Amino acid sequence: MATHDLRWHSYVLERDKGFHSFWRQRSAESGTRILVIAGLGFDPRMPRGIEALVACQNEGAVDAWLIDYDEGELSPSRQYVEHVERNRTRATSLITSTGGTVRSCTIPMVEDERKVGGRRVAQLATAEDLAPYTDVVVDISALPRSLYFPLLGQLLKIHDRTRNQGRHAVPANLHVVICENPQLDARIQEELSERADYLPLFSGQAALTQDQDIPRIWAPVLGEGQGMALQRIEQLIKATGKAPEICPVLPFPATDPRRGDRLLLGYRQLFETWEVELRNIIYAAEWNPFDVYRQLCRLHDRYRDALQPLRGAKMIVSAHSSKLLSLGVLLAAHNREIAVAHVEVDGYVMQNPPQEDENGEMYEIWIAGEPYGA
Amino acid sequence: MDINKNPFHVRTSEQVGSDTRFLGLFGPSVLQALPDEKLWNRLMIYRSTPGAGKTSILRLFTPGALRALHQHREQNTVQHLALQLEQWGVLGPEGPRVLGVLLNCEQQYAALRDIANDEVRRQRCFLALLNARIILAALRGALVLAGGEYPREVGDVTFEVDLEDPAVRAGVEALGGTTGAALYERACAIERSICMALDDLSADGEEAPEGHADLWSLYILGGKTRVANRIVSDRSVVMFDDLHLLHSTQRTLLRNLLTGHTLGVSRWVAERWQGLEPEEIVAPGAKEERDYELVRLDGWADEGAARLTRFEKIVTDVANRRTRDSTVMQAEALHEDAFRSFLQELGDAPPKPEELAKIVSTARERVQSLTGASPRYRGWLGKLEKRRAVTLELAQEWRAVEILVQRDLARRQRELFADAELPTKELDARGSSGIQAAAELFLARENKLPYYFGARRLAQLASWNIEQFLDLAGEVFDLALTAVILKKTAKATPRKQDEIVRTASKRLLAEIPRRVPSGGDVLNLVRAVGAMSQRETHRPTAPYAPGVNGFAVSMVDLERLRSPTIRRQLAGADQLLRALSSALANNIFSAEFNYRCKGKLWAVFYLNRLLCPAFELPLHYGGYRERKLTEVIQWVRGPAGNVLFNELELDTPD
Repeated sequence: MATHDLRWHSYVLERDKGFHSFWRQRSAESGTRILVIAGLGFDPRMPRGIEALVACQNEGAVDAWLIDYDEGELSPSRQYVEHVERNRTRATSLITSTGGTVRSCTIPMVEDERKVGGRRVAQLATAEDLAPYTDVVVDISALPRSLYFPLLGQLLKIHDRTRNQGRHAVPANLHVVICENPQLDARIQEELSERADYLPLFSGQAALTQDQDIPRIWAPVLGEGQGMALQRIEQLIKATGKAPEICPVLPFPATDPRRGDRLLLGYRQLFETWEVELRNIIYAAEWNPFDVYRQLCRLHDRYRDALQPLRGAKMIVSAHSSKLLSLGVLLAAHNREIAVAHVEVDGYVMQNPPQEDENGEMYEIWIAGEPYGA
Repeated sequence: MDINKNPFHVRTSEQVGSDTRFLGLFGPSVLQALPDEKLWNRLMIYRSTPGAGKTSILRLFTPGALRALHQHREQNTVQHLALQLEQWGVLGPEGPRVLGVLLNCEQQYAALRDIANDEVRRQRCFLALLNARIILAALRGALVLAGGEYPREVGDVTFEVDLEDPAVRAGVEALGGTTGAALYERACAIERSICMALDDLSADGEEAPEGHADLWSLYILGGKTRVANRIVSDRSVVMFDDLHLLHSTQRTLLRNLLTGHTLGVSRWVAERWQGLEPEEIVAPGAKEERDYELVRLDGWADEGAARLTRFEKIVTDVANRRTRDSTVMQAEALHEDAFRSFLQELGDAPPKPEELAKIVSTARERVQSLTGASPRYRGWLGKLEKRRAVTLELAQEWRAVEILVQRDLARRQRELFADAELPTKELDARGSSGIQAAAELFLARENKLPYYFGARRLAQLASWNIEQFLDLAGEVFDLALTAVILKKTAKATPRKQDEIVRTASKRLLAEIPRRVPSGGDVLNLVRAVGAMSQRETHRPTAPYAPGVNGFAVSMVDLERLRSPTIRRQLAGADQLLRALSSALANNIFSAEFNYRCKGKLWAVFYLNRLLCPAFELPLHYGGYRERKLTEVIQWVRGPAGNVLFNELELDTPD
């Protein structure tokens, strides 16, 4: 496959020390104005991105939008309200210390008996709001997938639209930052809602029954403990057609080289039920979202070309792993108009309460703007 | 993964790609629940917990499955099924006579509320999308019945309609005609425009598609269907699967439209209990049902004593069909009762002689140390001392005597002649099958013997749910499969079966928070009920032999729980109602309402039988303890009660 049509064939990805030196350098450039959009959750990593960005800032102000998502009164996350408040205080004091302003954006996750968070968050940002900033940084460390997928999807859409109209692209530069900590992730348990759905902006017209006869390819990017979510997504995909061809994505290379094998064994029964072919398994580097992105785009293009006589193929992806790999899924879905299936979460329960000093490794992923010729 | 494919892990309704294979795995006995005289004229609602077989029933009536059934109707495996459908007029000598149009409500219908601001427009979009999809499914189905190619030959399809009827005329106008080509074109355009509107987040809801005022497609499908001038069906049945996934306003609207008596098309709906309000779930049957026929596919609780035998028969049939489907098992599966032949009983694999001797002597010594030198039990003990054969049955009898002695000791202080020897016949009189069953359970726990094994207990552990049975039986089948691949005898020992069941039980418990709505509260409730049942079951006197595995609240208390006014005054009542209804809707508990006992009416809630092993509980029904509503509220709010033994590990599955 030709790689020139991969939007993120070349990319900017920094971690750990590279993260700090990147932002020190970036902040030192004249005229830099930064807006951070972060989720206001109980996760102790919530203020880490803001802390790191503020620490790298010489003198300019940093503004912030804190997305205060309300999972409803029944959510088990309610027990962590104190932690949320602690994060709010910490983030607010950091931002105001730079002379910046904080905007609190309340997003209801449930309304009128259904999940609406994704749609509401995507409608938050307008080109006018974002125009004053040179760099918009979305910190997804404490944001659920159902929010950061539509949010980033919409920001990329606005960026592409304004750029294609011959104007200055807005947001001029779009970054994603993540505070990654797999051990902490493993302690957070999701309470799943009853059904899967396609994420807003990422339906990829997969639900059209008129295309029922077009083969469906499903690439779940696997992580631990996701059997229930996988089953619900498979049910969703089958609702408009035959059982999909399943191409699981396993992490390799990975810090634990046997992680992929363990995942495969863990999902053996499901894969057997679904008659997954071993040769369909795809491997992608555990720490590099752009590797997942490349693999998914290749898979998409290969099936599209091979099944052209059958009117092509509809591809569906789902993210069940770390935020880094999920970002790769998002980029592929945006670049190839692939549908993203997802099971919403009613709330979270954390094994052992979150501790204030819990940390992780910082990642900077620059996904739109100067390096990409905008 | 092809080498050791396990057919038990395939779900007939969903995973089986080929219609022929689906028919081979379909157990026709499940059709007994359908009321044949009402199938076609009234709205039929099939309701159950997940996994009870709703989707399989609907799939049976789809054109592909009916066509496959007609082609193979002489084969042994489907002969009975074909005969049944012939009696219902679904199959004729030339082939299928019914066009089944299956629609899944999974597909984004609830999200339609986002694309329009006002309720009327939302309803119109909903109806338009339903109309489009019904028509597309009907066209596809008609071509399957005729052996045509979809969508290339949709132009050959015609639906016979009565154009004198104004409703039909309106439908024809809204959907573009009665010929396949026109209907196809219009339906595709409607579906595309609505789905595109759903993905456009910049729209403000003012430009939503116009939509439809009625379920016009039903009027178009009211008559016969022709393909290239050949009649391919005399009637159509439109089937809505998973209706509970719709928004409540959509469900109400759809149900109202489907109850219309003038419709020529048959209407079936399958839904889970989740679709109902919590107040309805915790007291089903409270509302009078006049406009539709309700079929409860998990309504086993109403069937009395014969239910286990009938359910066991159904699941055995299903298991045997699956066993025969395995390519690896072909040689082993020749046995008439193929699946059961894998399951060893304790007699087939008894403990080693020295282990058995130790079990018997321990059981005897326990009784002896309890009775001491008292002459009161001399006759009872003497009866067992005479037995020479060292068997598990003997150990169980000793254990049963221990229970009886414990009971007697508890009440002898009230007797006048407390040391008088009890006659031997008193031992039989005081014993019961319940005590024998409790003794078996106690003995198994104390000696780490297998308890949850054998065909009947596997059926009991399924909790009247076929999917749960398939999961469990599938794991047992895995053992047999591995043995065959390793060129060994395909047998699952009682210990292995027991291990599989206990692991599955802990897994189900651990999955509750992720699997059901209000999962944390449901887990609290289950753990409290489990702990309470364990304490009551394993008391030395076994007062509720063989044990307890459920709780009951009075119907008066249940009515209080259903009342919004009382719930407002009772802290935690809302939480309990939500947890209880979620647990019932998802088969975590099963219930019997209006159960008469001690001069009062009770609502009895039993744990899903697969949860019983996690708490070392028996599997029978009838063992429950009455509790006040306030106490049950504390269960759901507070931490779980203490579990005596069997430490529960709530690890994340997978």
